[in-house]
Amino acid sequence: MLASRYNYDIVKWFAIAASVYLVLGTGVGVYIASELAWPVLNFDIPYITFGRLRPVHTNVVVYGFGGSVLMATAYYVVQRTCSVSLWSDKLAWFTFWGWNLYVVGAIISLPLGFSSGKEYAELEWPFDILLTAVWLCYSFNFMMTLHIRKVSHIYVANWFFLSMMIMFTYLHVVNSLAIPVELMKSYSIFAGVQDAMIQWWWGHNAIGFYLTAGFLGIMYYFVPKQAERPVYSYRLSVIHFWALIFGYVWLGAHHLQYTALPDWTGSLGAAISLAMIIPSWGGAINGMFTLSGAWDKLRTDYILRFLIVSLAFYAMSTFEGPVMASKTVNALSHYTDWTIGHVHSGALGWVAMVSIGALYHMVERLWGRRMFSVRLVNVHFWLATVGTAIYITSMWVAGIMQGLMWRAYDDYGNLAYTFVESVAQMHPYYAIRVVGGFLFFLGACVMLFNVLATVRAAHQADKQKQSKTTALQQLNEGGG
Amino acid sequence: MTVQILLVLLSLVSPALILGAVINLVMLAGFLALIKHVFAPENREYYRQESLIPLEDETDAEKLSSPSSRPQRIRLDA
Repeated sequence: MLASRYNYDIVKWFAIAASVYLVLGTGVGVYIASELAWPVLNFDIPYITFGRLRPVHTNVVVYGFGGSVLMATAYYVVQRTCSVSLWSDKLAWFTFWGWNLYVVGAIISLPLGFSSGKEYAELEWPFDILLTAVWLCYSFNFMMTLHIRKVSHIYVANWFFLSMMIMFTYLHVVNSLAIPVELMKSYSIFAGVQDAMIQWWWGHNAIGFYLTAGFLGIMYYFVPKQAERPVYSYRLSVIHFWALIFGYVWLGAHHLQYTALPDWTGSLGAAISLAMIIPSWGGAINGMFTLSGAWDKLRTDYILRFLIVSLAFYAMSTFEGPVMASKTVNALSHYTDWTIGHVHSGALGWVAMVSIGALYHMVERLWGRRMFSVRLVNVHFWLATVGTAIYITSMWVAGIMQGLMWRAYDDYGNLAYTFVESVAQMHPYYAIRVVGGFLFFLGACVMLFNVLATVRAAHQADKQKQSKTTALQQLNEGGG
Repeated sequence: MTVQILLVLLSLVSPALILGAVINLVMLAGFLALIKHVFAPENREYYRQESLIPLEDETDAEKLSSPSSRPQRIRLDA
């Protein structure tokens, strides 16, 4: 392993935590997907019903996996691009243990039924306070590291991380404002349509800043690094950054078309959503064109494959999203499984793929050796890609069928199908979704094995090196 | 006809519309200034240098080892 002037220990621990949470989070995802296809899997046990396990799945993948990747990469990138070690190692370790406490809290409290009922923010108020404290420490440490940098420039990836940190703090605090009545029970200060608006202002901006801006920061460092060439247009990245930051905050209302929300807010959300195709594609094209003149690297570089395929999914889902936000399409797609397909094309195809590429890149450098098995990296790539494709296509077909069945009328103006008929029609697609999700989960297991084997091999090599050095020293002392 | 169109347009004017228009104008002006600044010829070198940061952040120890899944390339600096 390489001795370094940077604090890589914190990065290593977050990288391993991310690999573990990916297995755990996707594993729970596969189980709840199976419950939807075969409800008997509930076994009449309240703790493992879909309603309780679904937030466990989302919290473990979003905070456990996604958060650990964001912390690992932000700590890694800021140190390297600023040529300086982290401002505070103690604060960094506090974020590691605090973040893990939050995720473990989710794994324990949600199946027990403690939930605030706010989507993607289900944990009760003590955990909200914990998350705020940890996030503020993480942000402060990052900002102070930028402040003491030895390089005059601030690389664009850091701007993306910074915007994520600022906006996530704002979103999380406002969305979590609640009046506690017991240790594990609180009521939101918002009610009715305001509550819905705050929910989706938070919900979509968590996607926009936490799951997009943060991961674009990852993309802007790791794609050029792995491709060994500067980003295609650095100046476009600057324009793209500001356009994304100013645009995203307006989008939330597109989740509430045809509801009690004033009509103009939905129209505004839809209009800005369409406009956001431009900056989103600016980022995707910028990342992909970084390989201009070197596309042959994709034949041999498996890590680069993950990164570039993630950009293809990013481009696809950021086109699909605005289309679904428009009122005409939304009338068909809303409340259907098409939305689930869209979310997973972004979550599995974009967020997870770019994270996996970054994790493989970092593991090789942090432990100073190639992956234990490059062939297994390739196996993981195909499992993840095929799994994602199966997942999202099954949900597209299921969702469009649902939407069409719900709006079908007979000659007398009555609904042509009952709701339960549409549920029955979903069964084959739910089963196919399980297959897609299982393939992705299998890939995550392969990755965890490969990462742990690489770490183990690095430690063994280190031990051998140390014993050789000791033996040589003893020999020299004996001879002298 | 022109008067009618003007009256219809006038009836659409509301505080929300004016606020929206002002916000849009400020944002458009901001982006125009940003694009002019970023793509100004005198700033070309500044951004070129910034774009090279990830490619030049390797420590000496890292340069000597090449733990990559890529096929090994010839290292000119070794």
